[in-house]
Amino acid sequence: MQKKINIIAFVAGISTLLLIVISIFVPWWQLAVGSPAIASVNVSPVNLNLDLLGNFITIPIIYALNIACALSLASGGIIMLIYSLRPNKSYSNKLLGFGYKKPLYAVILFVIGMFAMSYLVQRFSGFAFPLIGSGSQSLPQGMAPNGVNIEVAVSAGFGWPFYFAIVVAGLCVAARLYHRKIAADTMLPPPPQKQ
Amino acid sequence: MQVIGIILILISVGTVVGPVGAVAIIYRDDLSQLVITPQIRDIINGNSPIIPVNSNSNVDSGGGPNLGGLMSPTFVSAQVDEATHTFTATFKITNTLNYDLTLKSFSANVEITQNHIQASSLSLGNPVTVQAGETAPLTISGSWTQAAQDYIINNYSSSASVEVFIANAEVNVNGVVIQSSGTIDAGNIPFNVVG
Repeated sequence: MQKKINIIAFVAGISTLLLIVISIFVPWWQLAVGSPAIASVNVSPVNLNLDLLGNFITIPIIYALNIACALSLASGGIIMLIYSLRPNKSYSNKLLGFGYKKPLYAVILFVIGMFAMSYLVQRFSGFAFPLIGSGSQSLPQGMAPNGVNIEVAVSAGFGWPFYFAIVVAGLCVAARLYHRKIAADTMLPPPPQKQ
Repeated sequence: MQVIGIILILISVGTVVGPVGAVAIIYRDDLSQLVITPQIRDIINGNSPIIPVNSNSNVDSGGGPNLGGLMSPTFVSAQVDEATHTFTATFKITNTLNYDLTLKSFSANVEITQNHIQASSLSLGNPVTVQAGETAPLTISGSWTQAAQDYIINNYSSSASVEVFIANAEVNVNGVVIQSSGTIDAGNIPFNVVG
């Protein structure tokens, strides 16, 4: 039986493009310092937003990597959509192989990046912050005037777009698995004809 | 099929190299600014206009840290209840930041500079929110010790004021708790202010 479209890949492609738009506006992970917050860090693979006392701080290399990630995800989503409409072509495997990995890599690299950032910030500034939860953290002595101890309330957590990204990555993997079924169906011999 | 493979490789490389290469070219004169911009460097060095607290400018006549900078209180009036040894002082507090601040709590001890006589304890009446760049009234309540009263009667009978300093100050602004282990020179308090 010939499959005309890979519906899972189609949904995955649309979801990937939707994920990019969502991730620009809603962070995957957020850290708030102070209550009410005087500083916040909003992170997603396509947008890192540092806000200190109402002033936005941009780090050029992070900004470039955010754009790179957005372009990479967008290309993955578009290629996934093209594949989903033509899953039986000779080049379909290449399209699928390119498209389905993008959200998966985004999620994996994001998680690795979060742990790396947590480790590096603590290593080099001495300021430890939670990835999930809230608490009170002391600033390193070098960041406070002499004779003064500064303790800040911090809270952090993953936002719903992070979990949506995991679902999108799951859909992409499912599309890859479903492709095997489509390919197997395509290669089935025609049913024997009755005499 | 070969062409599609090459196109996909070019997309993969281009989506990363393009944005990263662009910022590298923009900051080619000083590549360190890719990560640490002048804005971030000023914050690290404590010279940022975003946070007007300079660790080099906090040494006062008492040799201790000064918690000024973020806020500058001005004395307005005071009411004294001699029977209960309590008083309430009203200040005007100015928020020098471009960001709303909430003073959640304040506590401190007041000591007479001469002989370090424990004079009083202070605390904030109610939390105060000060809009960015604006001034708001602030009420501090406290009580004085009999020892301080006796000391002043015996040693300052011919004086119009007494020099005091603030010790063990703790301020909670927007969940940021600043504790001073040193002393803050509060200057001369005229007796006509406190009756």
